[in-house]
Amino acid sequence: MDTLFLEFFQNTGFYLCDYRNIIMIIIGLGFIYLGIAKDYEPLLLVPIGFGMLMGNIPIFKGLGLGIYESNSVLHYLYFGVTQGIYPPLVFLGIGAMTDFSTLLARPILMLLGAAAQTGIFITFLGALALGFLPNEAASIGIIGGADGPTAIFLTAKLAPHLIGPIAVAAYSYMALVPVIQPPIMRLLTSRKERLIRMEEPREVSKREKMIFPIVAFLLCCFLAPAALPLLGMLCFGNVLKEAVVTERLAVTARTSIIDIATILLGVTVGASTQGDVFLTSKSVGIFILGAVSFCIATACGVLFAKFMNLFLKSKINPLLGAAGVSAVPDSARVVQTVGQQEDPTNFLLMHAMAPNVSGVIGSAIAAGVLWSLMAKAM
Amino acid sequence: MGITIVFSGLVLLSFVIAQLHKGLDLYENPRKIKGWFSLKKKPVKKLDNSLEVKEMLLVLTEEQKEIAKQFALLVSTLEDHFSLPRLLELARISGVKNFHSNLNILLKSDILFPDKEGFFCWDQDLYIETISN
Amino acid sequence: MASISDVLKKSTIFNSLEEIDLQRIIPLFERRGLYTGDVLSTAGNTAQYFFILERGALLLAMEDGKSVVLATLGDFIAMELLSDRGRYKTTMTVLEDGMVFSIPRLSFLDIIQEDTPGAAAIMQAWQGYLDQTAPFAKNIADIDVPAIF
Repeated sequence: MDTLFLEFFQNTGFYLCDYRNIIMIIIGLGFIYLGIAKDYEPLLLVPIGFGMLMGNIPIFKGLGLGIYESNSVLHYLYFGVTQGIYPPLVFLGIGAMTDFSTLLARPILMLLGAAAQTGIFITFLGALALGFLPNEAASIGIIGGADGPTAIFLTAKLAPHLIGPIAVAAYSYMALVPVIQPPIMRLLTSRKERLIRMEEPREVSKREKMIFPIVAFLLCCFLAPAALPLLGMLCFGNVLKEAVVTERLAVTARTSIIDIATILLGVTVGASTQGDVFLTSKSVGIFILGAVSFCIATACGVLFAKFMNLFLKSKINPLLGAAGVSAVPDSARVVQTVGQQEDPTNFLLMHAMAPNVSGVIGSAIAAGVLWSLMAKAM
Repeated sequence: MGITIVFSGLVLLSFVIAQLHKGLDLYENPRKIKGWFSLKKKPVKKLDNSLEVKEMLLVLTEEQKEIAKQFALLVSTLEDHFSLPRLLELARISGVKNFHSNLNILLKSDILFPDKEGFFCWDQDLYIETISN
Repeated sequence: MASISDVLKKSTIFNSLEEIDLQRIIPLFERRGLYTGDVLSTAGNTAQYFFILERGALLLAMEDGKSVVLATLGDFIAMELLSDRGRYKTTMTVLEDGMVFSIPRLSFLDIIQEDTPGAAAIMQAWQGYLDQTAPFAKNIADIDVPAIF
């Protein structure tokens, strides 16, 4: 009887558990709490948090239960992450719900999206200096793009063993945009600059909105072919949206498809974040560098806007540079909030959407560039 | 090198987009191309913002329709019977373009109408009909 | 561009006046341009002029948020619509470019205080006009005491 009970107990999670499982489960619970109770990016944090719970239940190896066991259900679902399937589907949905008209009305704001991607490359160099391998450094740098699907896509290609910490870092910083960005924005701008009112954007025709994704896709992918999966799906989604005749496909892309991809991406990434990989000094380094990358990206966007103002007749509010970080639409909302703290009648949200969506394009191109550079080096 | 590629791509894209609406305008108005080659200087008809009254429904330009939408948003924050000077002030602080003239257009189109008690009302049905035309 | 004579003849306030009465008051009027956004009167300031509209549109903002928009040829902006005891009680803003004719307030009050048929006709027409245009602006019991404007 005692032997039977002992055998039973030795097969339970209570016996197989170690301190790392407990810590990861607590972190997972924390993510769920932040998502549900505090409303911090719930569509991302809840699946990732629950995935962490699933991935850190102590199990008996060999039964095809764990995400890293080749015959498990979670492993099959994880295939979409490791093979880079889910992120392009998410981008399809993003393209199908994005309105590029503010960008088309004032194309110069696109440069702010480009400037914000500087953080990616500076962090890449910093990570190399700290001893990370080039492919690891590229995956860490992309966190500064503040684009979860892009970060996961690139990491899956270059450093799949780091998907867990990088995804958690990327999504955590995206959720913390309203906390991280404002101090940087205030530090780098004067009150007078924050009060700058933007010129009313011109009217954009339906035809322009229709042609833009096709032109953008051809131009950017000819320049950086490795951006094809992400940028291609983003532009395709936008074409579906703007070509009214394919409205039902656009609706499917921005509802069912993106939701399915987000659920599976989140839960499998969370499940892959296991204690032995996550609770290491490398992860701490990734988190710190990720934060640095994010801060540099914000600062570069703001500083570039100030630089542009030296040459522009119609000045840009430099706060818009912070929206070049592609956390859509949170960083645009942060710009609006910080601007309104100085002048409640200054509505910057609409203008901030231009660099915000340009940042999505910029981070996709940056990911493609890093992938092609690292692929050649590997 | 990486950031150079990203920058180049977006600079090129922004340049192309900046020319896109001009190209489309030429495509839609090919007479403008003929105008470039015309030796005789033709007087340019100045477009004004005057409205055509068409079957009792005012025809607004696209810009006027957009501004009407902004006014509709402001009106939605007010009571059913609201103060017109208050609406004008809200339009001013919200940065609505040419808010005096555009308010006048809404009055002329009867989208804004007096209630005889010193306040004004918004005709939502007429507004929708006007901006749909 | 209409003359003051044309405007007065088309105005419901003055169109019943005899030609001789019209000729008396015409020289008192002065043409002024209206430009969108201009403020012709500010509530609280000393009331110096009354106005008759040739063309354009004017927003008359009164107390308690009430207002009226005048945009018809011959609309007369005076007395209860504009002033009270020598001070403007209305802020008048131009909504559309146009033209007005202004008459000094004291000159007009002198005319309507005369014991003449013309003055009586003006005041009677004025009451009818006010009832139609801005009945909420009526706030006096005795219409025979125009000096309070």
